[in-house]
Amino acid sequence: MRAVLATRRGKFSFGVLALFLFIAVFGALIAPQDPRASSTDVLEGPSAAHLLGTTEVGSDVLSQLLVGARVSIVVGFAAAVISAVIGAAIGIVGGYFGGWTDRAFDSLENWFLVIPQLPLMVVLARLLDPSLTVLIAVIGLTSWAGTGRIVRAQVLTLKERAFVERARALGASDRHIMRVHILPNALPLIFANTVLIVAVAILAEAALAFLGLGDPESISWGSMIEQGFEAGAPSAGAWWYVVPPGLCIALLVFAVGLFGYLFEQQVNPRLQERT
Amino acid sequence: MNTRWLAGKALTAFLTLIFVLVFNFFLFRVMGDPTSQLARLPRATPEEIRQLQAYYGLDKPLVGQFADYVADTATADLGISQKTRRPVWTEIGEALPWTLLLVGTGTLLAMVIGTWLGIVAATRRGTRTDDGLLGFSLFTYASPEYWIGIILILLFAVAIPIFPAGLQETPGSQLTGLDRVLDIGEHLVLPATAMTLMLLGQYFVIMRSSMVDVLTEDFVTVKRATGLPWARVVRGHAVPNALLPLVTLSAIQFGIVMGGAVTIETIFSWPGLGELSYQAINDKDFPVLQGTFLVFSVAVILLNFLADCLYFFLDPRVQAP
Amino acid sequence: MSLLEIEGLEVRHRGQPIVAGVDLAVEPGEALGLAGESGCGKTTTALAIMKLLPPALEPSGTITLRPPGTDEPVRIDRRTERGMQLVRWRHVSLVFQGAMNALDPVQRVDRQILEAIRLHEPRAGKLGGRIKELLNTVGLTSAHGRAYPHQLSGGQRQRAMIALALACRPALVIADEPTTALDVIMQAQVLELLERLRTELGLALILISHDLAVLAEACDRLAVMYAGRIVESGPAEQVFRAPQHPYTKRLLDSLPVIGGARGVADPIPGTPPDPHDPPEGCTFRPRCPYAADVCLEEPALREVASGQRAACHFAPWEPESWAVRRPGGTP
Repeated sequence: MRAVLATRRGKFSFGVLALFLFIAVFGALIAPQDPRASSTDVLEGPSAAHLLGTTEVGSDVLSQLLVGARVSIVVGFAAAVISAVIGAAIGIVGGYFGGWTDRAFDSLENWFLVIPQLPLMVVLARLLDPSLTVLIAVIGLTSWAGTGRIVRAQVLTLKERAFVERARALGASDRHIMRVHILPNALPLIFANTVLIVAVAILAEAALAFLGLGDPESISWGSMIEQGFEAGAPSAGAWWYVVPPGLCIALLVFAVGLFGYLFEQQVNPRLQERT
Repeated sequence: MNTRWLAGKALTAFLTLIFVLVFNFFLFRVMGDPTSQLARLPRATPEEIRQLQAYYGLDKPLVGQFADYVADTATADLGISQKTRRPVWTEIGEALPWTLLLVGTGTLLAMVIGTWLGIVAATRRGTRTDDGLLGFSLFTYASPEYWIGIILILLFAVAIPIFPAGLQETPGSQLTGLDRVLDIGEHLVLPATAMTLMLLGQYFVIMRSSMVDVLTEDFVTVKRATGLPWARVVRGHAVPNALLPLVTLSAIQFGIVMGGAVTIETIFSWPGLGELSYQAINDKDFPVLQGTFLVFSVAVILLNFLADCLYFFLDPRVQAP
Repeated sequence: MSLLEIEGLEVRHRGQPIVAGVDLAVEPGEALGLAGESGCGKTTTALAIMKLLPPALEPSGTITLRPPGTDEPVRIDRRTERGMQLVRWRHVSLVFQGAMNALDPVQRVDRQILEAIRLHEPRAGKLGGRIKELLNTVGLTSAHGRAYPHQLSGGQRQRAMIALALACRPALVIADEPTTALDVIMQAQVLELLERLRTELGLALILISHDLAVLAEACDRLAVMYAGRIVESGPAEQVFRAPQHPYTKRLLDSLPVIGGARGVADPIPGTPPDPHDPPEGCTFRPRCPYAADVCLEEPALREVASGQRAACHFAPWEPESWAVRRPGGTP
């Protein structure tokens, strides 16, 4: 962690992340206006009253932007955590036991990796009634395969190490070994990979919200783009409505991706920085 | 020729296909029982529901239903669109060529440009050019593709009106032949650009990393030692070797491409499978959704297999170990 | 006139010398052995001759090549990259250390040889026969030529590499550890091959190896390198029989002798010096059992016997002196 923060890129990405986290937590408090308050200034450009202009019902874009951060980030992180748990569990169990279990899990992983992710999420989300929980579940359930694969590879090497043999010789149960010996050693890798999944999850939430499958009650960056699009903002040239949310998504994902990449360089024994 | 390897890949593709069918079946027939979905709409009467149940064969046991499903799918009977009452297959058939056009153009451009930039970055590793390109590719990866589409519209269709802001051709025009082609082409520019930008990053990163690996190989130094100019070493020997992993690794892209098709077509009202899916989402038209999901999945499986075939023909180490 | 003349070659990495002043000469048709531990600068010297050093290494000094049939001597140190492309392979070629990955994996072996020839002889006609002959010379068949590198064994790949190195009929071939990756039988075959090629084709050879036994057998002259410097040079047999530098002596001592005492040879204590922090005076001093105060002054490479040079204050050494001299000074 320290090694990552030592670099300029590390500081930059961490700084951006911290900023967005701050907005996610305090967004509602620092928003200048009620994001849902409508007014008669419909689709107006940036002005002193509305720094980022207004929506099609006169709401303040900047306020929506600040408040919307929370949903995007919460869903992104929560879905990534779920995906990490599933991926780690399957990777560890499959890698540890080997044999048919492993092969079955491997086929399952392959399948999830081949199937186009967005169409799959769309199908699942549409079948259920949209809500934040559904979103988190759908994204989490479709993103675990990458983590599963990486974890499994590491477990295969960990399995052969001396401390595992020792534990087995002492009569430890499989569950104990997996929990106490293998899991802690795989954690850095799981963490590094999960950070990258957060990036994917944020993009996924935005895409689903954009397609109208997000939680109708909440405001998120994706839903802002959706509303803007539906209201004809692009054709009307109302850039202030649709460009900032997308920019926030891009910046956040960029920072997460960069941070995750730097972290992974430190943690993955097989990757070596070639610069 | 070591066809065993290829046969193995074909088998995997086939099995994955079966799995997709099973999954699709369970998802829609069991989870999303069409009649229960329909029953939520205010118009359906109990009589209609019973008729639909019989029509869908929902009174049969599960295995029988699955057999029906497979048979139906094989004969391209994917049901009827709940919205337009036309066969799903017809809807898909009309939309498919447009998606192929968009996706094909976007992917091709992304491959060519991304690969070329990857070579440039790898041969200038560590320089500002390299860093700049890496940053650019990470940013295009991080940017939602529909957002890129919106920006393109704002810049090149609204602010500076060079290109149309949507649709695939000028509505109402009865153009034929070359005129029509040009009209479609003009409408294709912005969506294809959005798609290209979306996919560019991945191809770039993969090619760059592959080239970096190849350039450290001994045979590159040997080629240079034989007196070959560096440009020819790169072009004639490094690049061909670096392209091999690109073929397999970029197969991962195909799923992302399908997702991009959905969102980009929506932004530009491009009448392909993506736009069809978007309408189906809004209308809760499950047969259509099921159909497009199936087509997307089959496409990805097929493309993966084709990539494997291509790899087979390119790498002598696989052909004859 | 020598075929190859190296004067004052230095190769620096961030200011620190990896090769610190090397003078070498190779006569036409001669086999020169370059011996020393890993990391002493042998490969770097070879790459410098080909002007293939990575950008981080900066060479200085003069390297002159006088290929037969050319009027003007070639100043390799002054040549541009484009100029070197005419020299490389045509007049001097290099058999790389560890040929496992030295050949393009997606190109057939004969095509790679063809490409090299066409590069320097664009107007050469049909080359099928010439390539076949090249392959046969190294003990490979046309079938081997049509194969891809991964289909050949390690020894076959090594020989293909040698065939490639001979393709343009250079006057000088540098072979960097050509036998290291091979078993003893293959080793003997390759050495025999190189010797045969030398006599048949009149090739000059620079043979690089850490194995003195291999060199002593195959070479006319020997040069021993330590820490980027030549510490001894001379006719091979002479150096072998009567070494004039403690380092050479220790290298020779570590060779097992058939019929001699059974025992693992003592390795030379210590490690080669860090180029960033070289010892004062003679670079071998910290590891030399005979080091004395005078060794704090760097010894020059001077002639100590007929045709033989050494960089040691105590040279010339008589065979008995090795046992008699003790650390700390004269007995």
